[in-house]
Amino acid sequence: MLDFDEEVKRFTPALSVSQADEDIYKNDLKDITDIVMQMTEDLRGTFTNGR
Amino acid sequence: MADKMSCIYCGGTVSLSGYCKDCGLGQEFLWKAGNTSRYYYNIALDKVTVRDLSGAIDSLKMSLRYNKSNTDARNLLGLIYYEVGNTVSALSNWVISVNHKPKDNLAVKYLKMLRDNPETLEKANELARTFNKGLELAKNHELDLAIIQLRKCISSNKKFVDAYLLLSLILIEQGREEMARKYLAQVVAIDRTNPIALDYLREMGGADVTKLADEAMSDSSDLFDYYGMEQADEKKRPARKIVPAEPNRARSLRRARTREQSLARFSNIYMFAGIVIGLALFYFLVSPAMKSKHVDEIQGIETSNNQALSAKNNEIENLRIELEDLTDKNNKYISDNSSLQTEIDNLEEEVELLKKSVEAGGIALPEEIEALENATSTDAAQEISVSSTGVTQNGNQYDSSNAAAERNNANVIGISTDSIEDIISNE
Repeated sequence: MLDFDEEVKRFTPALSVSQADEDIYKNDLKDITDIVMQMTEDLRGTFTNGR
Repeated sequence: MADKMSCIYCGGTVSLSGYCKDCGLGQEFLWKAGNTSRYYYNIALDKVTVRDLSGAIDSLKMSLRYNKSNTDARNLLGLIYYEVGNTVSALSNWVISVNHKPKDNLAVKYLKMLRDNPETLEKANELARTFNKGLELAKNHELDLAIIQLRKCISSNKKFVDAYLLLSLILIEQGREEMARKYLAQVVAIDRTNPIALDYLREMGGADVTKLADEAMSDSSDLFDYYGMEQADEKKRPARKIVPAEPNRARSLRRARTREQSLARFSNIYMFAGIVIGLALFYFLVSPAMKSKHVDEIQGIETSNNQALSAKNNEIENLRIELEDLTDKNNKYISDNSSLQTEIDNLEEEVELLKKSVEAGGIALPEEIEALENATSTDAAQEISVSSTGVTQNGNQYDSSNAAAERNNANVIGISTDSIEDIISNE
């Protein structure tokens, strides 16, 4: 049996055009290359500090 | 030897070992990431052809996780969002795509199409507003009003999947499963594997999705009548639709226009009449009550003021009487004081005279002394004593010294002249 209140929570409000900016910033996330770059930078930093 | 390759990520020079000299990323890794991204993009493309839009969205998101600058994947994702009614999500994906690749990009064409047709964005805004209103009403359990808003959404955009899904949920909650099934059929026709639609269909006992989708494509006209009546499927009666009759094109245009104009005119008249009636009601019903309330308030204030005033007047009267009493007492004290002062002055003068008589050795007459003795407590005695001492303002000194002597003798209580002579003779 469907729980109406729980099911309604799955719906998110629709965005208006004025909220497109926020949506763009939210969408432009990191990909795997950015993650590897970040890891490389961290390793470099660790290596430099270790010296 | 020259390093000829340029890095896929940053465009820097790549060494022979295969690593970029600038960013340090291995090119093999970058190739693999790009390939995986394209792989998922191809899967999404296949899914889109069979209308598996939810699956395609997942695949495209995976593709972008491997390579966010895969503009083909981003453009397709935007297109799918546009298809299911999420115009703003489509817009944002195309904008990001243009940002990564400004030239030779399909997203430029899509954005230009939106820009050249500003009604599309206005409609998208209105749609979002209406859907959000419906969602709010559904959360507050105002289901009938929510249905009205959502039907407005789907009549505006026949492919707005979220509106269909929410409407189906509300109808299931109300027990109108047949109607809900029809809306879910619409969803399935747009997106075959929509997970929410499949959940609801499973709850209602399952259905053949393909068959539903085909039915939806064929029989969907009555679902989009915003002002239309619901299908009375349960009672197997012919459906009642509110559909305007096909007009006679030759004449009907003019009539339709005049009908519209007269309706508009009547609506103005009704509005004016409503305003007049409202003002009249206010004047005859509300304002007298307000006036009487104000009058009552004023009377109450007047009464309280009068009471305070009378209390103050009483107080003033009491104080005045008290003042009069005190003034009388004061006057009496003053007169008493003056008379006492006069007496004191007289007594002081007598004392002075007495002193002088004592110094001079004055002799008092017996009759006068007796008179003095008899009349010590009365005013008459005082007068006599005064007269006998002869203290006058003219200052008769002989009389005054005799008076002083008499007074001196009067103070010798109980000794008579005979007794004094006796005492002398005895000595």
